[in-house]
Amino acid sequence: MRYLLLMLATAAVILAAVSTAVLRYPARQAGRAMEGLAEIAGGVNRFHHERLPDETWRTIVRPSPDLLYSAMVFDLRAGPLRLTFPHHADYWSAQFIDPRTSTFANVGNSAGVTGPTRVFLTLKDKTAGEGRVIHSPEAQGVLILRYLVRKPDDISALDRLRRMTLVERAVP
Amino acid sequence: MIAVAAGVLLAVVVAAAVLLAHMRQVTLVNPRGWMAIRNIGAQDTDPITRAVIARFGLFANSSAEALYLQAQAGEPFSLRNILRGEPIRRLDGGRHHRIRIERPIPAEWWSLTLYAADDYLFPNAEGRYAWLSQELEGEPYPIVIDVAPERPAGARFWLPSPPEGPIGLTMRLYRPDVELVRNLERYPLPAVEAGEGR
Repeated sequence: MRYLLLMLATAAVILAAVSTAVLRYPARQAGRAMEGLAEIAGGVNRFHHERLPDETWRTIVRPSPDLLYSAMVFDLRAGPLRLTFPHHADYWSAQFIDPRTSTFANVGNSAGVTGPTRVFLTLKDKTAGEGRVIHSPEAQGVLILRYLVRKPDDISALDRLRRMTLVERAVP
Repeated sequence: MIAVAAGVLLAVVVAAAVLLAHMRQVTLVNPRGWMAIRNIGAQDTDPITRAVIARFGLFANSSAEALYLQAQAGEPFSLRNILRGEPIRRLDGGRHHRIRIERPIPAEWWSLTLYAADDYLFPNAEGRYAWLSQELEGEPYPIVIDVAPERPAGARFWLPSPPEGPIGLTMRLYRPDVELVRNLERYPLPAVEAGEGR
């Protein structure tokens, strides 16, 4: 009986530790990625623009060789942000991710849209501003831009375009 | 000491069983040779799926924006696959596979990308890592993409693969039709056909 209890207690302790590790793992991975991203971008609320992935690209596993990626750690602790994405009729997307790895919003090209896309990014409990309002569940998170590259000749124009994305402090 | 060792073993068995049962539950399998993970990156994604995606595809997009399909052989996370040491059986790079697209795929656009065993893009003389739907516009159906180490005779759309080792073949559907996402397990996706080779 003592042996059985010791066996079950050992198993319970290990399983509790494993469960805790599993629960914490996504936020830990995301946290590390965010730290690294902010470092190479030169701070928060600044984009890091990646080159088009090829066979030498090692930033993430399974990259899309047809997408120009840009990424930024956003930080709303000093207030909401106004984001302005330049108009582009072909595929682009901006993915908003919280530190638990949930995607809480996506914006991108849309039929009929002819001007820039304006987003007011603010914390859930803050008041809204102009443009499309996106509420972030946390003060920090990640924003990933993806631009479709149809042919190599398009890369430089798309690179110029994505660098026109404006990130400004907005007054709520 | 024996009791502690037995406890460790019990914990490993229970953890593995829970993980596998869970992955079977959240994996969508299409009989044409594809699998996808249900509910990636959503607010209500469960902790185990969240951890698995954080390990193998951190910051993957939600399925409404991009649906990630993995080509695979057999039944993912089945006992048979586990005993082979491959929870998901990837395709063999040395073998000729055909991706037969019989009808337009309802998405804004799609791509079919090949990864080497290390999950990075496979270097090849053609510089061809993927095919995009835009490159095949206007082609009559069925469209066949040949995945093989050497260009098969008559192949028009060749995706070079390493001569040996497993490959990852990912089809991404961008802004897919809602019905396709909802009925993924029954939807007539392109067929992954194994041709000649080892």
